[in-house]
Formats: sequence, structure tokens, C-alpha cells
Amino acid sequence: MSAGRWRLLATPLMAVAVGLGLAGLSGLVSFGAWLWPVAAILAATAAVITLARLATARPFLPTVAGALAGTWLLTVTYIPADDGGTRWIPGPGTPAAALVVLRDAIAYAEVTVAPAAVVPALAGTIVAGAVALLVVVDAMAVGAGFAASAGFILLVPWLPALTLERRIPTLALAGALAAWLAVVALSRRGEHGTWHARAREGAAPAPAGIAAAAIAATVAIGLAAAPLAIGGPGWGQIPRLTLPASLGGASRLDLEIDLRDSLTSRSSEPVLAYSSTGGRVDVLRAYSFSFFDGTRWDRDPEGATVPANGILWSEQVPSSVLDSPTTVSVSIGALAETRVPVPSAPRTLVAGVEWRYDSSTDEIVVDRPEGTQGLSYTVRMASDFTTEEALRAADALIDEGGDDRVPDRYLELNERIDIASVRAVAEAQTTGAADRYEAARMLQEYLRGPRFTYDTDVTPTGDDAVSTFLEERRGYCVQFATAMVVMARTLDIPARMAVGFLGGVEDGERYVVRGRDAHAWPELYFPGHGWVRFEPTPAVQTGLRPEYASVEQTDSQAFPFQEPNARSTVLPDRQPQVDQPDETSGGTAEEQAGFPWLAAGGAGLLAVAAGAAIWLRRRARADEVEDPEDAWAALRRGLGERAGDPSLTPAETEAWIVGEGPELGDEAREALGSLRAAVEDHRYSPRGTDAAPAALAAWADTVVEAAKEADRAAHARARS
Amino acid sequence: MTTTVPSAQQLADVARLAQEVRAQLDTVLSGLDDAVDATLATVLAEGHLLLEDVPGVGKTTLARALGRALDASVGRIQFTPDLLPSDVTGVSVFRSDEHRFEFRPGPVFANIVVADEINRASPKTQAALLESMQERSVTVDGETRALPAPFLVIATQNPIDMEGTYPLPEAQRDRFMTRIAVGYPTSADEVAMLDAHDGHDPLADVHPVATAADLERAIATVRGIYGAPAVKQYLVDVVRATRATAELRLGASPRSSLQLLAAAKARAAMHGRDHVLPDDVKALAVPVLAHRVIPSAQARGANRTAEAVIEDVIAQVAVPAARSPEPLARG
Repeated sequence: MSAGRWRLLATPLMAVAVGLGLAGLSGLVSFGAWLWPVAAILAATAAVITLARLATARPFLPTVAGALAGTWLLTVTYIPADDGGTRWIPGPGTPAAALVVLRDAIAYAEVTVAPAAVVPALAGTIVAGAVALLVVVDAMAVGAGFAASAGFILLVPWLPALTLERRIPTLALAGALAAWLAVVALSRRGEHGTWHARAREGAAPAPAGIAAAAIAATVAIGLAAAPLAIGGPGWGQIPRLTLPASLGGASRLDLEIDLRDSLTSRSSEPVLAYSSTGGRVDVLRAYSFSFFDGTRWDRDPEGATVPANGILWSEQVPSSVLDSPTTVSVSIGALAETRVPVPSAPRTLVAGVEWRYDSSTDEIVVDRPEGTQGLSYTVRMASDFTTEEALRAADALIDEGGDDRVPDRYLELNERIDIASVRAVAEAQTTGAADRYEAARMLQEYLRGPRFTYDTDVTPTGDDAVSTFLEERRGYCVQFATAMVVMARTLDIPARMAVGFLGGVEDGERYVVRGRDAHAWPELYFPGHGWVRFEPTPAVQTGLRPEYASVEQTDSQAFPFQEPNARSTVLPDRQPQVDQPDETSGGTAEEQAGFPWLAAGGAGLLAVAAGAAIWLRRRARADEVEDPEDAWAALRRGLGERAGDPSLTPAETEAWIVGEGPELGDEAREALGSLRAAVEDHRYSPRGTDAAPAALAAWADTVVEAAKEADRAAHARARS
Repeated sequence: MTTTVPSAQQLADVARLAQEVRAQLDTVLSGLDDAVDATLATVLAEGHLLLEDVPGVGKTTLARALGRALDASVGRIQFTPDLLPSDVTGVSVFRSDEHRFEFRPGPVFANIVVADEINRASPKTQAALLESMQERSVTVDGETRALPAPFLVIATQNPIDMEGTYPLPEAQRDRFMTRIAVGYPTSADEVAMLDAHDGHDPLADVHPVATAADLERAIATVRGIYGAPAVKQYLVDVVRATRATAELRLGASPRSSLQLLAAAKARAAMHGRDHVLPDDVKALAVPVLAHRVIPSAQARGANRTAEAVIEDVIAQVAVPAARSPEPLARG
């Protein structure tokens, strides 16, 4: 490839890498038609840079042209004129208008639940970031010639995905990596024909300072954009590190539940508070999960939802059940769910916002961008609706085909599960059960029994986490709940998993629910009655059984409990002990819990930037050649021991390098000779040398690069 | 004595002269490149040369060939134990017809004086030669007579532990700019030598290639060679290191610094350069320094020669990098 041609290919490749990087935002924003203008603007920017490169040999002018073009396209597309039309020509009012768009985007991001639908203001902000990234990457990789280091900058769009532990779109990541690697490869091939040559002709070598500035700019963009991307307070304030698992700075239940994940952190931050006329409620339920593939849970599909105002329950119940209701008034703080957490019993809901009810999943959907954040509502519930008698009565309906009302998915067992052995355990534990209620209670007691140990630390296992759990008998609520659901299904009892919160801790006249109260539990179906919660997680972490499923002759004191692990014992106000799947495995994540991730990400970024800065500084020092001594020192530094020891004169050093050192080509030997002569003239001749600093730098660089090349070749030979 | 910066032409003349003399010497002695180089440098630096080695390796041949190659007057003195100082310097004889004393110059009155086996003569006679080397003049009967210029003494001597020798004291060895060990030729060189001597005297083939005047001009050119501060610093570093090392009882004197720089300048000029490189200093450090230092008992015990010690010293002295001195701020 001839000198400089690689640059024409490199910029489009970098644009591809940046564009694919948007896939890293997949956890935060939902993709849609807004991606087209993004792609178009990126492509146009790359095209302008490439065309400008054809026209000029100056390294950074094309980048500037691309930046201007991208900015103009952004303005036209996303910043409306004051009269609402298109802003064809940016004027003095444009920055202010851009700021308005940016503020809109921040405000929107702060109240939106991820993945957020993308509004034009947010799209504009994302495009601005992408264009800025492309410009910086292009300046660094193509302009300055540091293609390899530019990879760090290309990582920026992936940071949210990495820090939030979202699942990364593998193809997109592979594509971005491939594009970057191609640029690195191209730049190495083109190297000897490009800035080395220019340097020899007398032009200054690419200023490393610009590359350092590019790194600094990236860090600045990253630090400024990170709070925006994850819904921080925006600019102009000290960036507050917020939890990664949400937009809007609020907590969320993590709904990616995987039995192989350990429970890593707990939060003592309040997420909601309620007052109740009937004392503490058992649970506040938000989500249903029905699909289990052996290790991971997936949400129920959203069924037919209706704006309802009657009694909310999966079965038809007479309105008389609410004759003496318990009234629960809930106010949600920084908890941004898409489902309203409500007690698990027939109830009515009065909330100040629009909501819909899905009876098949028993979920209440709220259609606000900010979800349940800041929501206050009142629930009237039939707190004593579920009783032992009512559940036993359901058995009659089972025989009449009462289970046929529920969808098949609630009986589905994935083939990865060793169904036969799980069923064997389940049947052994339910021997003698007279009805479904007794079977359910026996399963619950089996799991709560002394043979199982509550442990937040689980080791990742294979495809069948339930069988593993039944063998190892260690886990937290997700494992216990899952095991009971699967065992129930092997007994042909429709079952599903519910996720929400335990009832929290009394605090004066209210009950406060914290992040660590997040919980998962199994629900079993009783025809004519509905979905009923059981509590298989050991009492040491969850408190009491539901009243209807309690065991008369014993209570928790009868069991030799495992002590909770050390971390939870040091938590304050941990009464009662509750179980919470962490943000990585099905619980809430909130500010404090999110902090280490973001801090680690930020620290990593800073470390990378610092390393790059040191490297660039060293490289810059080598490039700051003012006289032959600098070039000679750079050469000796570059060759290390192979430059011989300091008692050698310049001529002896040259002879040593040629004789003992790496195999240099003719060009490098000539450069070495020229540099040696210049050094001798400079040091010893009355006239000094007239070699230009740029030429000196180029000579030193040529020799060092040739030596490295020879080393690589020698290594390759040694390997083959 | 004024020195001027030599012109390119002058440098070329010196280089050519050195080249031609070397070519002449090569017809007589093959394989002695280092010795010949050091010899030429000594000649051009107005130094005196001490050739030291076992008998029969070509010391005298080298000295005589040099004398022939330079079309200059050559005096030759074979030192013997009964040689008198006047045999070196010359005597005043009474001319009865003119009723006055007339000075008969000794062999020392020549451009090139070959002093064979200098350590076989008595110290008194040695001193007479060495004084004239230093003063470049001879005083006989109260009258001082200048020796011709250029004036170069090439002395040969056998190693000092040979029988019937009066070793030169350190102070007198110091008068020689360089001491060169000729050394045995290599096998191939020795065969070539047999061929060259087959049937005729190779010295007969040596032609004069330069006159005394040429040599005088070359010497003037050499004086003008530039020694950069970095080179002088390096030279002084080397000389001082000989005083610091535990392997030498006596290090090199400041006079040896002067002589080393002069010899290095000559070598630079021989290579057509108008400035000295540290390589010149390195190449001449052993010939210039080795005969002036005295190895310590410890080094002798380890069978270390002065040459080996000095080579070690050189390998430990870093070649200084030079920042060109900043010009002083004006105004």
C-alpha cells in the first residue's frame, strides 16, 4: 500500500467501529428508527474526513473538516430553529439552542426507565457523542498515527454495557474490534511510507501532544457523558455517582435472574414506605416469571392488559371479599419499576396515574417514562383471603380440570433440567400429601429444613442449576424459589416465580422497605382461588412463613439455623433478616451498591489514560529532538543494551550495533551512519552539524524501528 | 607558536603524506598496521618514538624504513656500553691550520635519529641523547647548537630484563611520546616477509615520498587540529582514571595528557579530519600511556601488563555527551 492510502480506508473503518459501539448502549436505550440518522451522520462525517484527506496531506485538517461537517449535520437534524423550522445556518443562538436540547435530553434521561425510548433530544445527544468520538478516534489513529491506542477510546461506548454487566451484543463487539484491528494493521503497513518519510523530508513528526490531548478529551467526554448516560445530575454539578442498573438515578429490580450468579451486595437504601391498617404486609409483588431454561428466568409475556378499576386478582372473586379491607398507602421513593408493587391478595388500586392490569401475570403496568418513581397509591386488600381451608377447597376444582385455565407455560419444564430426578425428590418429599395444599407445604418445609443452607455465594454450575442446588443445598432466595417452582411443576402443579419486596421494617407509623428487602418467591396455582405465595427460603433470611402455610407444631427455633454470612450481619437495622437478589442476579441495585462498579470503571479508565499519557510522554520525549544529542539518546534508549555500553565512542557504537546488534536493513544502516556523523560533528567538530532536528529524529526513529522489526522477524523465525 | 585552523587542502596533504609513508613502510614490514599508525602519529605530532620488543622483529627496519621514506637526514647511533656522550652529540676538534676549534656534529644532528638498543649504553650517554630530545638543541663546550627541524628520535630497545642493559628510568621514558611493541608477525605475514627478503634488501625498495619541508608543514597542520571540550574532557577522564585505579602504582602524568592530545590530533589529521574524535584518543592511549605508568605489585602478581590495565581503564570510562555550551546572553 502506498504512502497514506491506508488513511483513506482507516477513517471509514473507525466510523464502523464507532457505529457498532452504539450497540454498547443497548441496555440503556431501545433501538429503533432513530438509528438511521445516526448512521447517516456518522457516514457523512467519515466521508468528509476521507475526501479531505484526498485533498490535503496535512494530518489534522481533515479531522477538523469532519468535525465541522458533523456538527453542522447535527445542528440541522436535531436543533430546531427558534421558529420551529430547520436550522440550516448555525447562528449565534445555536449554542444556546443546543444547550436546551442537551438539557431536555438530561431531564428525559433522569426520569426514564431503561431501556428508554429515544426521543429526538436524546438521539441528538447520542449522535453528538458518536461524532465527537469519531473525530477524536480519527485524529488519534489516522492523524497522529497512534492506531493501537485509539482502541482505548473506542472502548468508551462499551463502558455502560461493561460497567452495568449488561449482556454485550457479541457480533457488534466483534465487528468493532475487527474494524479497529484492521486499522492497526493498515497503519503498520503504511507506516514506513508515511510520517517517517515526511519527517525525513524535514516536516515535523506528528506531534504526540495532540494524541495526548485526544486521550484527555476522551476521558473528559467519558466523565461528562457517563453521568448523562446513566441519568446522573447532568453537567454543572459535581458528578454524583449513581447506580448503574437504571436510568434516572433510581433503583430497580434487576430482572435478569440467573441461578449461577452470586448475591454480591445489598442495599440499605429505602425504596418505598407504606402505612397499613392491617400491620405489616407479607410481600409487595411486582413481576412474574414463567420461563426457566435451567439457569435463567425470563419474564412472562405481557398479556391482555386492561385499564381496570375493579378488584385486581387473577380469579373472579366476589366483591364481598373486600368488605373489611386492609388499606395500604404506599409512597415509592427512588424506585423506577414498570410494574406497581402491590400486596399479593385480591385488591383495588387508586393511583394518581394511568395504569393497566394484566390478570394473567397479576402485574400492574404503569405507563410513565419514569415508571413508579415518586408514585403514591392506595391499595385496599383482602388480607385474610388465602386460608388453609380455601386452599384445601381448591382440590375439588383440580379434578374438574381447573388447571386448564392457566397457560401451559406454567407447567413447562426445560429439557436441560433433569426432570426425572427432580420429580423423584419432589415425590419423595410429598409422600402422603392429601392434596395440593399439603404437597406445597411439604415442598416448602423440605426446602426450609436443616438440610439446606442459606448462602449468598453460589458457584456457577452447568445447565441444570436446580439439580445442582438440590445436591449442594446451598443458595439464596432465587435458588430456593426456583427449586420449589420446578419441583411443583414436576408434580403437575402450575407454578411461577414472583419478584418484589418483603414487607420491610416498622419505623414509627410506617413500614420502610429497603433495597435489600427485594425478594423472589414461588407462586403455586390453586384453581378458583388464584396464585398463592409460598416461602421456601429459610427463616433465617426471610422471616416467617405465610400464615396459611405455617406449620403448627414447630417454628423456626426448632431448626439449627445457619448463621447468615458475615456481610449481612454487619448491616444495620437488619430486622428481620431478608433476602435480596443483588443487582446482577435479580434484586435491586441502588446508588451505594452501584458505586463500586462505576468507581472501578472510572478508575480503570483513569489508569488507562494515565498509562497512555506516560507512554505518550516518553514517546514525546523521544520525539523532542533539538540537537544530535537528543537523537543519539533516543537511539540508545530505543536500542537499550544493544547500543553497547557508554564507554563506546559514537563510531564504536555504530560498529557495535551493526556487528552485534539486530539485523538492520541498508536504509537503517545508512540512517545510523548519518546520525553517528552528525553526533560526531556536533560534539567534536569546530563547526558543529547542520543536520536538521527533524532529520535527526527520523534517523533515530528509523534505526529503532528497524531494530524492532528485526526483533519481530527473529521472534517469528524462532517460533517457526 | 601560532596555530591556524587547517584548510581542507592542508588536511588532504597530511592524509596523503601519511598514506604514502605507510605504503612505503608496508613494502618492508607487513602486518604491523597498528605500530605503523602509531609511529606516523608520533612523527606528525613531533614526538619521539620508543620501539620496544625482543630482538629481530623489525624494530630497526621500521626505524630505518621511516628514515628513508622521509627524504630527510638520518643519523644512526648504535648504542653500546662504551659509547660516550660525545659520540652522540659531536665533539670540538682543534684545527691546527686555522688555529681554532671546529665542531664536528654527532649523529644526533639529523632530522631523524635512529638510536638502536638505547638501553645498552651507560646512563650518562643515554642522558645526553634524552636531553637533546627534550631541548631540541645540543650544548657542547658552552655553545648551544640547535638541532634541525623536524627532529625525531626513534629509539629501539630490548625488554628491560635482558642481559647487559641499563633500563631507562621513568623520567626518561616519559620523554618518549609513544612506546610501541612491534610484536611477532602473523604466520602469513612472516611468509610474506621471507619472500620479500629473498635475494635482496627490501629497504632498497623504499623511496622517499616526502621531504623534511613536507613533514614540517604537516606538523604545523596537525598543531591546528581542533580538540573539542568533550574530547579533552574524555582524555582527562582517561588519564585521571589511570591515577585512580588500584592496579597502577604510578598513573599517567599531566605531561602525558598533553602528549596524548598531540598524538590524537596527528591521528585525526592522518584521517583527514580537522577535529579529534574520542576514537583517536582511544587508539593512542596505550602507546602513549603504557610506558609511563607502573603497575602495582598486585597487578604484577596477577601477571597484568600496563597495556592490559590501561585497556581496562578505557573500557570503564564513559564517553561524555556534549551539550554545546549555551551562548552567553547578550546585552
